[in-house]
Amino acid sequence: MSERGIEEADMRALVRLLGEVAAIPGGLLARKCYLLDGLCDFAGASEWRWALFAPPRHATCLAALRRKLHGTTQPVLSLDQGHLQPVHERHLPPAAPSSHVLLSRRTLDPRTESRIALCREKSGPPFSPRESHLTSLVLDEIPWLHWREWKPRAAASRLAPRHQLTLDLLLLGLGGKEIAVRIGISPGTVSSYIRELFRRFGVNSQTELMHKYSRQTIAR
Amino acid sequence: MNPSSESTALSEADARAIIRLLGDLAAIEDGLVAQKNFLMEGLCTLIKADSWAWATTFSFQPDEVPLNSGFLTGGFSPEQFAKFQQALEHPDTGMLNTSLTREFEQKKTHLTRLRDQIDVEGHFLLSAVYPIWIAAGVEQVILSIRPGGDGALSQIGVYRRPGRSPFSTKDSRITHIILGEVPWLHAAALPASLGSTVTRLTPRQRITLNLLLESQDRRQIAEHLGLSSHTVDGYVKDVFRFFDVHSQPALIARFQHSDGGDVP
Repeated sequence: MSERGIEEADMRALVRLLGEVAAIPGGLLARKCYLLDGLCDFAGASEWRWALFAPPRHATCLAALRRKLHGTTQPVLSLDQGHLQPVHERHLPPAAPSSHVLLSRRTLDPRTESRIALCREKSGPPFSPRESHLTSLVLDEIPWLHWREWKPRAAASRLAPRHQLTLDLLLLGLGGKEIAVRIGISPGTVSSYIRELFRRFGVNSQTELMHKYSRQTIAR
Repeated sequence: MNPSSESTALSEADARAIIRLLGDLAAIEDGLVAQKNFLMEGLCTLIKADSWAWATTFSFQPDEVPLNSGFLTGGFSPEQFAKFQQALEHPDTGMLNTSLTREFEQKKTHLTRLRDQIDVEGHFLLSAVYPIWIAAGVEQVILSIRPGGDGALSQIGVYRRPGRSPFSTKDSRITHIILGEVPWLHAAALPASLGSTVTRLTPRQRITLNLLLESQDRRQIAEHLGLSSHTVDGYVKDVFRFFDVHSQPALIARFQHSDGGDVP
């Protein structure tokens, strides 16, 4: 095996973990916590921490989360309905020198740096090159682990309520007349809604709309 | 023999690309179909494939043409997709895949094979179905079969156009790892009660069904299958009656929403 190659068993374990993360309901925080928990198990770390820092000297910690394995995820600082409150670094628990640390840093914008650390008690052995390598692969290649907010895709502007209702019913396979009856408006109005929806989504028929919509090849 | 039995190492670049793909997958919140679609498009980019198909199969008999339903595909033009359906229903395709289907019947485990591993003696090139596959834009093949839930199984094909170089065993390994370790993607996209009824359709009715589900209209279907519009009208009527619907959108809805016919 070349020095930087990845054993198939390790690759499988990481793919399985990431696949599980993809099936977790909820937004960024739930998935981030699940992935970092799994990564701790994988690398034999006892704790992870994530924090955002602001310049000039990265002395101000904007947000932080940490979790001790086999415990619960705890916001180090206040995590209020998903919004993390600014605090000073001195409130952070010391990471070193009481533990071995794997650290990943990423500049999010000129004003913010994200740091993720995996920690292991000093009483245990240091992280092996394999553990360190595999962990850094994940932390490097999954940018959203560092993000503060969830930006899955550009949200299209919202449809007007009746357009949205018409769209929902079109996607259920209903025809124009049925939709008119259900919403209680004239077939002519429904036709104009449908024309607008087709134009908006760049399709020429209801079947095309349904087909593309199910595959997410059109922006909502 | 699975090219995998010995533990192989992946290169740093491949490992990074796989992790990036799965990480991006984990950022999608739009449901199973969108996630499958995203993963397969990403896999095709990774191993430089031109097209792919993911079929959920409910009736599986070795030596027979597998009866597929619930297709998800990418990279095919409408005409190629019609040829692809014809090629799948052709008896020769079942015969060519005999070694794989028998092995699966025996082991009941996830298998991934290159075309040359399935068809060791090269019958493919001389078979009657070969020109149909070529018309579908398919020559090089990786085939992966994996048990799913509810007695269903996933059959996933990844393809390269005629004239391109064959897939490598490394390409096959990457496919196997990615498709193997994300079990929930293989949960049946439609209930067995709906999927298994598809076996009661004739091959031509089934091809028509799959083209209707891909939003092709009657004119396209007639053109792509080389049939008269009158004949296609008959098949379409059969399919509508079979699934108790009166329009193509209603038919698509039944399969997308797995509603067992309970259209509001």
